[in-house]
Amino acid sequence: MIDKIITKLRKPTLYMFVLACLASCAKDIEIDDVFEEAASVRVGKTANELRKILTSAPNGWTTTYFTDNTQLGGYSFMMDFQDDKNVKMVSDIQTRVTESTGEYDIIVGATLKLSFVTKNEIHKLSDAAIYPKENLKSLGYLGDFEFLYYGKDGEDLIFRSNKKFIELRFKKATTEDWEKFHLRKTMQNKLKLSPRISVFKIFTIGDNHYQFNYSNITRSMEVWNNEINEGNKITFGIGFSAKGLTLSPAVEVNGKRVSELLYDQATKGFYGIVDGEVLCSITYPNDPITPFDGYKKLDNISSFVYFLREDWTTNTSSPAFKDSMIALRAYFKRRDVIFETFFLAELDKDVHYLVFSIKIDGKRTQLWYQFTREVKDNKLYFKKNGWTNINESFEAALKPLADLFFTPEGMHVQDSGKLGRFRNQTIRLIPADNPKYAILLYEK
Amino acid sequence: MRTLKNTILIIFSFISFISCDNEESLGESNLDQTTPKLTDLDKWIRDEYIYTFNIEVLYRWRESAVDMNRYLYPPKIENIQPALKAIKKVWIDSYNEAANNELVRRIAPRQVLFVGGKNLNPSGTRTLGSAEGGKRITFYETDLVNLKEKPSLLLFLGTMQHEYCHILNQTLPFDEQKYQKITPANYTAQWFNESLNVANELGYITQYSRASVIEDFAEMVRIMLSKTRQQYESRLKLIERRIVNKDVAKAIENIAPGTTPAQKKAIIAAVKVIATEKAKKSTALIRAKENLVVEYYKSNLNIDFYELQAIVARNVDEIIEDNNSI
Repeated sequence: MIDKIITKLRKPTLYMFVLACLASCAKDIEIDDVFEEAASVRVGKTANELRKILTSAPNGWTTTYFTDNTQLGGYSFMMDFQDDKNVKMVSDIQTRVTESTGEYDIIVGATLKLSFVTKNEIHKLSDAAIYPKENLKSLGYLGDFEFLYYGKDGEDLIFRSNKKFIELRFKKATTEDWEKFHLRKTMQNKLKLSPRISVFKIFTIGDNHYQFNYSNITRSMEVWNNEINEGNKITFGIGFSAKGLTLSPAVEVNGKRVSELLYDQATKGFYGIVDGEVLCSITYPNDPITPFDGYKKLDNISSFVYFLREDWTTNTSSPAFKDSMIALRAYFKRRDVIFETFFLAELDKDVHYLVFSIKIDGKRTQLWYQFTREVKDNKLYFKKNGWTNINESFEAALKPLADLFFTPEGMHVQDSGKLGRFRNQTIRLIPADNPKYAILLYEK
Repeated sequence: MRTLKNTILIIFSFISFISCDNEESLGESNLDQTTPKLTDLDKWIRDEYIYTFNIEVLYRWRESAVDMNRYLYPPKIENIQPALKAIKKVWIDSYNEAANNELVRRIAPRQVLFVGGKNLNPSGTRTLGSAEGGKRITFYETDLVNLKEKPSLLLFLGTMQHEYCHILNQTLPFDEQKYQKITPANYTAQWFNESLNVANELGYITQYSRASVIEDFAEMVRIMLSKTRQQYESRLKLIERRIVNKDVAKAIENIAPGTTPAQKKAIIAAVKVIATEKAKKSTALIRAKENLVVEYYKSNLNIDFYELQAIVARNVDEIIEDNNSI
């Protein structure tokens, strides 16, 4: 019975099904064309357009490439796309500004890619054999030389690196950019040599002050303060412009972002200014932000010796002081005298000596300088009473060094903790009127 | 009924044809198909490599052709032609002279790829070249080679000799089992952990020879083709001397205090005899591999290997001379 019903129903059902199919086919579902042209046509057109934009800029393009701002800084380039194939590049990657010419291409793939297809300046960041620090061995400077095109932002061209998707902004260059490109190296040297201005270097964001260390090898700046201890430093990549430096990432103060810091010749500092307000700065003051109290260590320890080895990293005397010591030793050596070291000694509470130890013909001689000392306004003042024994010719040579101690402005005394893996207490003496000198002494 | 079926079929076919007739032309491709502008270098490559040997030369960066995880870069344009001239002379011309003019055209990589800088491996070693599936040979360090200096040139061209040997082996396999029996126990993926002296002592011509039988065979070819026959013989002698010297030095170190000079002399003499025996065994293993290489070239390619060795050495000298006279 059921079989018969099914047989009877089969034909009408089939007809209805066919009719439904035909009906559905009859009415096309219309899809609106979002674009008027096929994707391949559009990509091809954009490629031509990009090539035209790159080659038509009268003075070429400039960009600063931060390959990884968590550990490396920015490397700047000037680019002159001379024709459909060749591009001249200038870069600040090396110690001096360098220039080369190579080929480029715009490759149509999943998206448009600007590829520097033969060796040029930018490839120096992708050389596995040349790396700035051990953890980047075989990774070079983590650079890329193929960039995906992400369109325009005003007159700027936005790219992202092929491997790590780091954004690059190509800006239209001016003749001044080309002329003053070398000043980027000048700015880099100013930041590199800044410890020779003052050992007190401060990175300020808004009202917050931080200590920092700049590494010229990686072009990166580690920043910390009491809240952020040294084990948990924040890193900024540093790039350079003709007028100052670029921070990456940018810092934000009261909703205002700043990344460009301008160099000020008068103070030798770098300032990030927005709407006339300094939001961020790198400065080198004469005094520490918080007064040092390292002078207290002198109460319990009667003798401190200069840490002689200038080449040891545990010698945190300032570069300027290390240099003056090297020069002083060379001076004595030319006279067949070995300059050994110097130290502070306390005979009793009111009798102190600054002692220079030298060797003549293998015999040790000590030159004693007697002084009294006092602590005032968190600074240490030495008042000299004179030499107890001195060879006049040596006195002239040692005077610049002695003057650092006997400055009428006094000295800051920094408690600089233990000496590396040793247990000795160390202090750093910094003449208040000459803060480029810091003298590391350790407990004898 | 049959007539009706045929009529329907004819009508259906006719409709099909009509519908085809109304099809629009596909038109031109949307993709840019114009021939890229060729530089003088490109034209030279077409004449010297593409038309003559059907070998494409890749020197412009091509992402898909290299390991994306490595930090590599393309070479300087000006380094390509000198490198290609050297490769042609030392590889193609040498093989063609020793065999026949068709060998390289018949068995060759279809692409030669140049990379400018070093290809460093996580193990601390560096790869000088690679052959992928017999189709492509990659040269690294193109920007670093000094074609005026023999050691630098030989290191660079050694890549070609080594990788071309792989390509020959991929087309005409050698008897791996027979070859492996010579030094079966000391092939290792950690070949770089032990010195050249150790490798030689174990019967391998280089450290890398220990990587596998295939690499061992290619390293034998590379070393033999980077020297004259006389220089190669000197190398084997040097290997023997080093093995003996090392054992003697070790024996001297272990001589107990109080040993008389006469006893010392006797000990050293005895060690020398034993070490010389050992050294000869080591070079005999290398010599056995050499014989299989020579046999392979003769039976598969009809090449007298020693003749090829002499031709390569002559061509290397000529390249050095040419490059120094520029």
